Amino acid sequence: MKHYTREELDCYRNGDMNLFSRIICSEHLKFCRSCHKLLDSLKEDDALLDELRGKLDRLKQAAGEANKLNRFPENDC
Amino acid sequence: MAFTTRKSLLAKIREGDEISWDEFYSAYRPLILLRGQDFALKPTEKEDLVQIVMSEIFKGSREFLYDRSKGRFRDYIKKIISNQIARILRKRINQEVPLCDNDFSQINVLEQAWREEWRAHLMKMAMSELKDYVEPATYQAFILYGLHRKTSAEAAKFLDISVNAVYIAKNRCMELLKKIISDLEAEL
Ligand SMILES: [Zn+2]
Repeated sequence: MKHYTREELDCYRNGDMNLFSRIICSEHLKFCRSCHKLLDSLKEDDALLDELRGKLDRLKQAAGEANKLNRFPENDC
Repeated sequence: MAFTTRKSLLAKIREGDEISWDEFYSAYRPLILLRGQDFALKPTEKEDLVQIVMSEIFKGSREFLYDRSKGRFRDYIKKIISNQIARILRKRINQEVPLCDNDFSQINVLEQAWREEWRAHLMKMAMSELKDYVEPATYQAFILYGLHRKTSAEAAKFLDISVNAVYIAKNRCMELLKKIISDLEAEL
């Protein structure tokens, strides 16, 4: 039995597969635990990417706000 | 093996090499600012905090060498940041400036916030490390598709590669990133 690669499953879940391949993949996933596990791990990667985006934005924002204030000194009046 | 010959901050800490002021400043400034934010420090106080933490760490030298006998680096820097925040807050009391709501009374909340901030810092460091480990095109594909949420087709078109190559790049980078984050967690 041929299993799917991570990239093939990425194509599948992102709609980059043609209809015929998509149906076959969908059927395969119904009974193949190994490919299903791989698909789940891609979803976990998505969650890590979400976290990464959020965390990097927070750091960037903290540094950005400070830089902005350095350029335009605070008016204490 | 690293793709570039530039030695990463992690490698320097790991191998006991000296770290320059500039390198440390750019890596740690956002983390220190975020911690200052937890205590609702004013912008000028946050900048002061960065400067005094840096001075405390470098002690007048342009290079910093971490002594591992001091324990984990994350605990060492957290202690320095906390001490300096306490000093700023004490100065406020002396000046009769009221403390904000986010003072030291909310220990659990502050601990949780620190863990989140430290993780954010590790992720930032991991991204910088990752850049050294993969080819520029791979990194770019990862940034476009993984971080900037471009579609695989858009990233592929922009970089003139196949959609499959975008996914290969993303998966390669994710695999490395997870490994680097776990190394950083263990090392720092
Ligand atoms: Zn399978």
